[in-house]
Amino acid sequence: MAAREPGGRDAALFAPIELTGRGFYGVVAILFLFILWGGVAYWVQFEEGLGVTGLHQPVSWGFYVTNFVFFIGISHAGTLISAILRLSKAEWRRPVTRMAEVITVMVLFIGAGQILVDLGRPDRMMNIIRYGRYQSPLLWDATSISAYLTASIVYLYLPMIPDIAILRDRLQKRKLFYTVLALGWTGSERQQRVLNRAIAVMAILVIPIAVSVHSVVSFVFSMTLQPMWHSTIFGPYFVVGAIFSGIAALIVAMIIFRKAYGLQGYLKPIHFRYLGQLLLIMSLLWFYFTFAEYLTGYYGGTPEEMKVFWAKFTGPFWPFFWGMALTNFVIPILCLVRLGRHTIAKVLTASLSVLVGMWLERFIIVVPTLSNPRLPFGEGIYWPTWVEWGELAGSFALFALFYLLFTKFFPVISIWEIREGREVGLKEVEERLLTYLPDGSEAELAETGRRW
Amino acid sequence: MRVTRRGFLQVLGGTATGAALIKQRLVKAEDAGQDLNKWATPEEVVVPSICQQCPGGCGLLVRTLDGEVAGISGNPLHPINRGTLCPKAFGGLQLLYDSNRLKGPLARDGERGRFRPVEWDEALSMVTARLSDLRAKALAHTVAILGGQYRGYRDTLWKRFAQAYGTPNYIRVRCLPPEKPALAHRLMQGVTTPLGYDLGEAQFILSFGAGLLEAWLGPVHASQAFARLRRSEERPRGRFVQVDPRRSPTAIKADRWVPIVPGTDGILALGIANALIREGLHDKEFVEEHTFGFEDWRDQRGEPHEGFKDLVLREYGLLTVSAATGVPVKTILEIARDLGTIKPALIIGERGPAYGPDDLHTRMAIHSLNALVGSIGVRGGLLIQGDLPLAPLSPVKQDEGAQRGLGQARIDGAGRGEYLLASDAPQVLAERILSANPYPINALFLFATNPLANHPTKAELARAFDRVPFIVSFSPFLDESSSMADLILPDHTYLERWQDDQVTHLAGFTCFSLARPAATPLHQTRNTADVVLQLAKALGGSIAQSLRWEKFDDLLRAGARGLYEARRGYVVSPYAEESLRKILERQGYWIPEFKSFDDFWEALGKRGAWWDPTVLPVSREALHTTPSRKFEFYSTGLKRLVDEAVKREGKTGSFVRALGGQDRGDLLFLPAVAVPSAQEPGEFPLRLNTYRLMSRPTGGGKNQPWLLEQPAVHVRMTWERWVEIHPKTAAGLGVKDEEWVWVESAKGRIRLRAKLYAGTRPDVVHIPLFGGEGPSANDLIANEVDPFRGFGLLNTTRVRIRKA
Amino acid sequence: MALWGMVIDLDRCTGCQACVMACKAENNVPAVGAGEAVRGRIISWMQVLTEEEEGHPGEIKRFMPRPCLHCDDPPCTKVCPVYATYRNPEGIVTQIYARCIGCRFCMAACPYNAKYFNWRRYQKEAPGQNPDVSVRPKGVVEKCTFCHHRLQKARDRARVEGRELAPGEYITACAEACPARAIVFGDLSDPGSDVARLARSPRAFRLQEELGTKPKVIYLTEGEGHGRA
Ligand SMILES: Nc1nc2c(c(=O)[nH]1)N[C@H]1C(S)=C(S)[C@@H](COP(=O)(O)OP(=O)(O)OC[C@H]3O[C@@H](n4cnc5c(=O)[nH]c(N)nc54)[C@H](O)[C@@H]3O)O[C@H]1N2
Ligand SMILES: Nc1nc2c(c(=O)[nH]1)N[C@H]1C(S)=C(S)[C@@H](COP(=O)(O)OP(=O)(O)OC[C@H]3O[C@@H](n4cnc5c(=O)[nH]c(N)nc54)[C@H](O)[C@@H]3O)O[C@H]1N2
Ligand code: SF4
Ligand code: SF4
Ligand code: SF4
Ligand code: SF4
Ligand code: SF4
Ligand SMILES: [Mo]
Repeated sequence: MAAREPGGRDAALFAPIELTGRGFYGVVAILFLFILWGGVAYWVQFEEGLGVTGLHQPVSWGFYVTNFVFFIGISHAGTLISAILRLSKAEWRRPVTRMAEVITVMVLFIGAGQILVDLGRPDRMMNIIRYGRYQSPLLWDATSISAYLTASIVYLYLPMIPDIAILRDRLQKRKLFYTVLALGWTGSERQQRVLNRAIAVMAILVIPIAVSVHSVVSFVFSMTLQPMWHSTIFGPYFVVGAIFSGIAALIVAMIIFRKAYGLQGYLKPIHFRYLGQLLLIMSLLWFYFTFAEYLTGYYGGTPEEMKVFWAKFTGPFWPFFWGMALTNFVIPILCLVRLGRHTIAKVLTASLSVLVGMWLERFIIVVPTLSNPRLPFGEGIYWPTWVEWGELAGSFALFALFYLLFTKFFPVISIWEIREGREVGLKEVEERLLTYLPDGSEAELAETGRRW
Repeated sequence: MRVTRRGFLQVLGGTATGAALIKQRLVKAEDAGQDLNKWATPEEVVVPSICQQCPGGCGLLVRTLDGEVAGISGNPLHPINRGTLCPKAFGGLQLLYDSNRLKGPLARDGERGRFRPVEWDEALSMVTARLSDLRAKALAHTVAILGGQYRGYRDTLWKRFAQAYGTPNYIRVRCLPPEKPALAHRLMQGVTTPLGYDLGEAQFILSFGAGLLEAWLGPVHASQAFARLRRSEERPRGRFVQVDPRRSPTAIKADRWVPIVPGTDGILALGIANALIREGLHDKEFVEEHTFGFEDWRDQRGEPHEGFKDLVLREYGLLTVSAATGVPVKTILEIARDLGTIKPALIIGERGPAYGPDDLHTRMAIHSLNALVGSIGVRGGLLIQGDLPLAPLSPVKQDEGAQRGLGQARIDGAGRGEYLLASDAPQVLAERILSANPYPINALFLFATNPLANHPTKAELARAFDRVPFIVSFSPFLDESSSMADLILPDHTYLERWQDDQVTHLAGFTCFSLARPAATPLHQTRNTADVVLQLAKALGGSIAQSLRWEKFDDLLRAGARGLYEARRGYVVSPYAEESLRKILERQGYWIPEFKSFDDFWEALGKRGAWWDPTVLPVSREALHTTPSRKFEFYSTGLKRLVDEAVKREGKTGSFVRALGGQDRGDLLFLPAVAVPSAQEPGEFPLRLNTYRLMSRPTGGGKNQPWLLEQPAVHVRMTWERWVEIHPKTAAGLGVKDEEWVWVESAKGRIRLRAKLYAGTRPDVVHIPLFGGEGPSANDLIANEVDPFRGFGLLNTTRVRIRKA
Repeated sequence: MALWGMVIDLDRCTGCQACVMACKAENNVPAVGAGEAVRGRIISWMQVLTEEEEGHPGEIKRFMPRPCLHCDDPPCTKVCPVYATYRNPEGIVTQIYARCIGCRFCMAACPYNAKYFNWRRYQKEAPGQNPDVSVRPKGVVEKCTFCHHRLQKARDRARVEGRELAPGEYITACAEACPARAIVFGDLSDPGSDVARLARSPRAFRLQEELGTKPKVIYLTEGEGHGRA
């Protein structure tokens, strides 16, 4: 075990890597149980076929597709938010970006995995490459998700290099591992410049890719002619939803690690207040899109659409629909409108609520349309089986495990960026601020500073 | 008319597609047995057969590859189905390959112990020993043979066997004998052969609860007629009215569904008669010239009798009728107007199960409408059937033992006393066996029937079976009844055996179908018809002499010789040829197609059927073989029977009592149905109706997964039985769709899933006859007997529903 | 080039399901069993749907047999990522069972729910099957093929006999069975054929025509008057 430098600055950031407590193993054990459940479930499904799920005619997509959309949505947490924050030079981003980026990478694996789990013939997966047919939105998905995954990994990795170098130099263990990954980082000015440029380029690059990912995910639905799927705003609607759930996931992750790793010094209420405000804005935006989507459907009033519409509003899906409205809109608004006291508790509540809500939203998009076919088949109900629950639990657990393991190898908060913030950030901000402001007397400036 | 080949084919199939299809299938049919697909490795042979999944009698083509069946399609030459089929026909594949079929004869270890497989020889000698022994003890009459729904030479064989052996107890367990004239037709017209409903030519069809498109005499034939009624090139769209408490698929397809209080059809018919007469819409000429008893009349002694007209006008006012039947006055009037104005109109009143306690008079009332609109003996109405000119068999030889046995009364009492008019009375069988009245039954044969499942007296029958020391079943399956047997001698299924079918109930033609085995028998089973011949041979003496054919096909061959020699009719052949012959025949020529009987027999086997399509112009008089040579609204035949019975048994004799007593006077002989007084709902407020699903084959179809999986389209159910309840009724009971409910009658209760179905009268619940999992409606149905048919009354039971 | 199509006369159709069972027997479509059936996994390439009387819920007005409509512009084929379902040059929309990855996108995209999935291994080699049609493994989608194998057989036969395929020589199992002769099958591109003639009937309509899928299964409504059209 590497000796800990007591009192070293940012010791809290190294702690999880250097020390592993009983809590960690406990958590891993629990996660393993869930993963085992998921594994057994998948094995059973592989042997028996998708018959072990609750899927049927006409609800041929259910949990897995819902989870796919949901997880891919979460993935927007990361890269997109971090990229936007970076590009907009929001200083408070510094302790946040890493966590966000990790979410993206980890969750993308899980998300893409959902599709594989959903396949009736996973053994023929490679047919997508052998016979790939570009007319199919599924192929667009495959392409843009791979692109996003690649870009996100790079985007995660680049800002990690200086930290890895720090770990290389600081830790005794895993020397080789860190050495290789650090790519000979010395922190020279030139390296620093190249890195900053690269990060900036990637940040610009990942934004359109991220937007494209969730647009094409939505196209899986909106390219069909099915009632309440065939909608032009599905692209932006899905992207907004994705960012919305992404922020919520990020907040939850931050709060967990803040508590677990004692990062109170880094993740301050202000961070949560800012993210909470972002969440609030997304909630409003989400509401706007939902409203627009359902209002147009309702106004058009074609019988097939209305069948699905009422199935959601008053029919068998009402608990899901209204649950979604509650968790995605009402609860976040109540929690976030005035973030005076108990910021963190409120933001956490809102975020958890949004996570549930966005899952419900995906579900309410996928299932009711399928269960209300155009022709008179009668409605099909759908309820997942233990296998699907297992996959869901396993997926979450796998995600959590990946994340947890990551934190055991790399700092969850970008050490060098924090340091940079301390060293150069302050000055930069002041300079930048000055450039925004109208030229005026120091007094006026001071006055302004005080008010804001 | 310029007759083109295509034209010919078109008429046949209705469409060119159909015609071409027929042509294509023909090639196959003609080439059956030859190497049609030389390039295919297995030898493909297409063998004509006969569907036995219902009494429809459709012709099949069975595709076989090296003797294994690989598909079933309709025989395009067959006049009944013209290449088409119904869903049940395809279930035949699964019936044949059912893995639960019995693989060979089974006998019991000890007294009803466990079944063990036995060799055929041993099994047969067990039966012969038993039969010889009983005959030696002068107990031949204590052997009873129960037969199900079949006809043709299998019936002939059993009948002959019973007569030669010496038992009067050959009892058929069914309520619709299609090969016999309907009782109402017999009584009102005196006919001795069945009348055919000319569905294909009718322009208006009024059906009182005949499941035309689902069950009845053959849904394929009826569907074709229906399709013609709906859309054909030559005539305007016809009309179709279905009277049924349930909005059956047939009722859905009808122009009008008339939901009726079950059992009140006679009253409705008389109400319609009332409206027809009142509005002067009846066929006055026919009524005047060809009917008896319409107007008031005086008998030889000069006593006045009320005629049908006055009776109907007096008793069956539309308000009364409407109140009793639940049918609005307006509907009655509209039906009457349609009937009076659309010609030819056909009124069907011969559904299988009874119409309730007044069944005979109900059927008479319905049939009287056919007379009122003059539809008897006209195209599109009721037609006489020609007899099949099968070679007559030599008379049965009866030794003394046989005569002694046949001299005994039947165990079920059919043909005497209160069951004077019934040919079979299975309903009383259980009670008679249990009370050994008039004698105990010592051996019971079960052939193609499963009364322990299908009869309302199933519980009593089960107890009765316990009393019978020797039960032999010929079922290919272990069903409720065969599993009570001491010995099972499994029959081939219908695709594996020689068989015939004789269809006589179709209007305009008679038809004899012949099938040789299509598939190589899968198991150690034997055609029961062959087994009967073997038993006869083993019993020897006059029995062997009466049934001296080596194999069943010898008997078929012997009978078919008559067709060859009749100098009429044809082995079915492509339509072009047939039409040519028809034209010639109209001009008085009949050209033989075959040089020898052997050629004829060969062709019959290859094409599947013989028929006589020429409609003999039968005069209306010929249809009225009553003493008055007229259609009798007042049945003098029934009057004579009653008078004789009174003479024999006195005024309180059982037959008279069964008819409702002498008090009814003339009403006994007229189609008069008593209008019931309004009933309090009481403890059991709902009526129970059981009906046949289109997908349900006779035998139940337990072993036919395709049919079990999608039994119906009007409700979505699968594999499992259900009870249909009107949503309003269900709401009152707090019952939701697919919930479990108890259906309770005074007799018992069963648990079923409720299906809400708006297509019904709210006061009737319906349980389909269906082979899927679940309890039997016969556990609810009261044991009431209809003395004229000897069968149970199946739609009089009242029930209540409770959430389970 | 032929364009195969079907006309179904709803005035004639009695909802008997002969077409349904004929299809199962012809195409080796198995019964899935009681447990699977209640879970809604019945495979029925041809399915008889019921339409309700307007304003009278639960009162069935007519029966509507629904095979795959073999859309001329099929939404199902476009979404298939691996070319496992496609429209062939004669308009038949077919499935390649050996290639399908079981993503069920085509099922979600078919506006007529004409596709069915093998949720488990329902199909096993069994006696009584039609050797001309392959048995499907678990995990793939299947649907009505217009009895495509019959076309191949008819073609083969015509070729061996050295002649052209005659009209009506290729007909589907459901059309062959239908006792009411409600189903007419044939070449829509031959203006003289029965299908083409009936498809021009004033009674003709297509399901969800507004979707622009151009189904080649055309329905005829009820109506007064003479004649089949
Ligand atoms: N598919 C199929 N066909 C069959 C058979 C089969 O098992 N399956 N069995 C054959 C045999 S053995 C027979 S006997 C025949 C029977 O043939 P059908 O008599 O046609 O058969 P059911 O279905 O019993 O009755 C027909 C209709 O009568 C209705 N009904 C019941 N009570 C009344 C009433 O009081 N008045 C009126 N108007 N209607 C009433 C029922 O709701 C039902 O719709 O079918 C034969 N054909
Ligand atoms: N509730 C109610 N009950 C009814 C009726 C009703 O409408 N409602 N209808 C009544 C009527 S009309 C009738 S006809 C009866 C019918 O009742 P059943 O006479 O019992 O006739 P199936 O149901 O046809 O039973 C035929 C049996 O024959 C056997 N079997 C099948 N195939 C073969 C074969 O190839 N050879 C031989 N030897 N045996 C075979 C099988 O064991 C099968 O169970 O049901 C009556 N019961
Ligand atoms: S109507 Fe009867 S005989 Fe004809 S195919 Fe159907 S089940 Fe067979
Ligand atoms: S077979 Fe014909 S009549 Fe029967 S359901 Fe199918 S299309 Fe309709
Ligand atoms: S009906 Fe459905 S499965 Fe058939 S071609 Fe059209 S979209 Fe494809
Ligand atoms: S389920 Fe099969 S056929 Fe359908 S879209 Fe996916 S790969 Fe193509
Ligand atoms: S065309 Fe062939 S595959 Fe399609 S429903 Fe009809 S029988 Fe089945
Ligand atoms: Mo019957």
